[in-house]
Amino acid sequence: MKKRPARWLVLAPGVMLSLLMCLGVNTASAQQYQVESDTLMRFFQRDTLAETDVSVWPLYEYLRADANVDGVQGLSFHLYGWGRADLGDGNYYEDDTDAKLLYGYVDYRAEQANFLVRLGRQYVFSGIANESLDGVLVQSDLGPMASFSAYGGLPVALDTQNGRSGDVLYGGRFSLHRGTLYDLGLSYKKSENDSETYQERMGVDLALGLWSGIQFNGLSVLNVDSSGWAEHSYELRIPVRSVTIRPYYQSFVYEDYFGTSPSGVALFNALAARGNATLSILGGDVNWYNGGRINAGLKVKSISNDSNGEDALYYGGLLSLSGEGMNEVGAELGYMDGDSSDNSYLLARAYFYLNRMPRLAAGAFVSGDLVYALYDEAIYGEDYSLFASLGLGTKFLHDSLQVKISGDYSQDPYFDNDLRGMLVVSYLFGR
Amino acid sequence: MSRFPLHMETMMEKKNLLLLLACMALLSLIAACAALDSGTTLPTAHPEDLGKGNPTCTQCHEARVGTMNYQRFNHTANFLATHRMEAYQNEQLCAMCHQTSFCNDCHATRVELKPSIKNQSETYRSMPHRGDYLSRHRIDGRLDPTSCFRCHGSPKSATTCVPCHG
Ligand code: HEC
Ligand code: HEC
Ligand code: HEC
Ligand code: HEC
Ligand code: HEC
Repeated sequence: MKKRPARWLVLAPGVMLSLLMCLGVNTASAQQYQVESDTLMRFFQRDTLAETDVSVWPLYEYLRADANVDGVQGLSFHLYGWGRADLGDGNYYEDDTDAKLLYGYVDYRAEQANFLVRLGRQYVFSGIANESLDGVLVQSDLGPMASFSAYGGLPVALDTQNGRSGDVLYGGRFSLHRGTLYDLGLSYKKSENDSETYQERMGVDLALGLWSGIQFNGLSVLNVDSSGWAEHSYELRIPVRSVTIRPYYQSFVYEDYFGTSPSGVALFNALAARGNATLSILGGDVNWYNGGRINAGLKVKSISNDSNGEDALYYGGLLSLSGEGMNEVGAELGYMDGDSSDNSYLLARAYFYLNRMPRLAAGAFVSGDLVYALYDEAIYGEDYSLFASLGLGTKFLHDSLQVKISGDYSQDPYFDNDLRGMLVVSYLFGR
Repeated sequence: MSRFPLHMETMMEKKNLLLLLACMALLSLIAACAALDSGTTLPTAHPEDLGKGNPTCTQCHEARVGTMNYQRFNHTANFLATHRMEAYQNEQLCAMCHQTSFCNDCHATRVELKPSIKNQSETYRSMPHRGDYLSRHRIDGRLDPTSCFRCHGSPKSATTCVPCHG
């Protein structure tokens, strides 16, 4: 399978530029637009099969454009994509250049009924769908008690085999709701890869607003293809003054949850082959936040996986303190207590982000991050990973231009004394 | 390999064409029904610019008002792990404050950079996979691979995994 990134790289910015030019030419008719460009320059060294300590200089560009179309109330246009070119000479990447158009769609909203139509490449988050689609989405209320959304087109994720012939994706969600009392949704999704069913799922989701602010959320997903329940996830959110307690339960059946057509990902097909083994998770979180400067949380999660007989208990806590502006310091500590030592690790993190300091210019910040993991059983002879990062940045031109630099250090089972650097230039303009 | 988002030949395939027609029919039907107003249309953008930092909706809004359960959307310290149901049921609400590009740092058919690398200096955000995840992922993956499947379950979003996992 030969990629054609070079062509894409010419194409994608070309498309974007011409669209921008259209916007520029028509500024009189384009009422409002916004363009955001993030340029990332990274630097690190890697060993390739042929050489050691090859310098890698990937340059990334992320471009987003949004525009309202004048004359047509509710009509807007949205575009987002990224591209990368390695300016080093080490052949670290399979291809020196790569690019993806993540979305590019026209969006129409009516003033009534939350009516929405989207046409083009877009992400669909609805019911059981978390998909990238080249096609159309329609969404509307049906009176005060019901709503629906429906979508159809080509699945973007499945064009790697045999192109797009025989590929299709469609589905929708119908929901009944009343105030904050309940929202009950029924969804369906089907995708085909090369004329074979890739996934066919049905889902029921329910949100119930109970007494004293207590909330119930539930989701069950049926694999229509194998006629088995893939997933059940339920949670309660119980607010008690400034504390929210969230007990939850989830269960999954391997073949029904991971099952796709054989054209799916080998790694997950292997998991699906574990048949009707189940995974169940029982957990709870407690979050404390009193509207002030302290935020604290505790988590417990018990995992029981009978696909490989591995059980584990994770427990941890986090604490953050915030001050003026975005000043924040925080720490997190947790332990994954696996039945076997190769499934156990301790995880610790501490960070800061400061943008209101005596000597710091307005718009400037300094940040730091430290992540440490200690493995009960060594991985490739190393029993810990240590990651540290320092960053600083500032803003210019009435905050429309931001420049950030950061340096990372890592000592871990995969990398020895690894140093990486990154320069980010973000530019936002609009009218 | 297709090079264009909407490749004409394949688009013209009978099945897809039928599907598109069905969608169009549905669309016009709905347009006719658009009179079915709910009376609670969301603004397209949140009236107040919230800047950076995870918002607690109930700081400014009552817990439950009319059709809105604001409490549900509080971006708590654990929101990263819990926003799933909120997003499935209320994507239009998220879109009031978030461009899809924001979600795409973590949810995309294919991005190359880990979200925590792309936003390395935003240390106040609770990104997944922080630090050296290559070593840790095998443990998380052995114990509970379900969330991995949601984000890496398609041939494209598993590009990074293929060199080691086939
Ligand atoms: C800093 C204060 C503040 C925070 C925090 C905040 N909002 Fe708002 N919100 C407002 C203001 C002000 C308005 C406009 C006045 C109004 O409609 O209440 C508004 C309006 C809204 C509306 C439109 C209401 C209507 O009837 O038209 C929605 C929906 C909404 N907010 C949702 C949220 C959600 C969800 C969150 C949390 C993720 C949130 N808001 C956090 C201040 C805030
Ligand atoms: C009223 C505005 C508002 C609404 C509505 C809203 N968000 Fe947010 N959200 C924010 C802001 C502000 C941030 C902080 C962004 C930052 O710090 O850069 C945020 C952060 C997040 C984060 C990142 C958390 C982290 O720690 O990295 C996620 C994920 C997220 N939102 C998801 C959602 C989803 C899903 C929905 C819809 C169910 C939603 N949001 C609705 C304003 C909103
Ligand atoms: C900082 C990373 C991050 C961002 C940004 C983010 N998410 Fe998520 N999202 C996650 C993680 C992690 C999970 C998996 C949680 C779990 O284990 O269920 C998730 C899960 C989801 C799911 C469920 C996925 C599935 O297949 O079941 C949906 C839907 C979703 N997010 C929607 C959104 C939307 C909409 C936005 C933007 C408003 C958003 N997310 C932004 C990290 C993120
Ligand atoms: C919310 C979406 C999301 C979830 C859930 C998620 N990932 Fe990722 N993961 C990403 C993104 C985005 C990247 C960066 C792009 C890439 O490499 O595909 C990534 C990268 C990775 C990497 C490469 C790390 C590196 O340093 O190169 C590994 C390994 C990985 N994920 C494993 C997992 C495993 C195992 C799970 C389940 C426990 C998981 N992921 C869950 C989004 C997610
Ligand atoms: C650098 C090589 C490497 C990369 C890249 C990699 N993995 Fe792994 N992965 C491993 C190793 C080694 C194991 C441990 C295998 C074992 O347990 O025998 C593993 C184990 C796993 C497991 C547990 C499998 C099981 O048998 O229970 C999952 C799930 C997983 N990886 C997911 C991913 C995902 C998703 C990605 C891509 C985002 C990814 N991995 C990328 C090397 C890698």
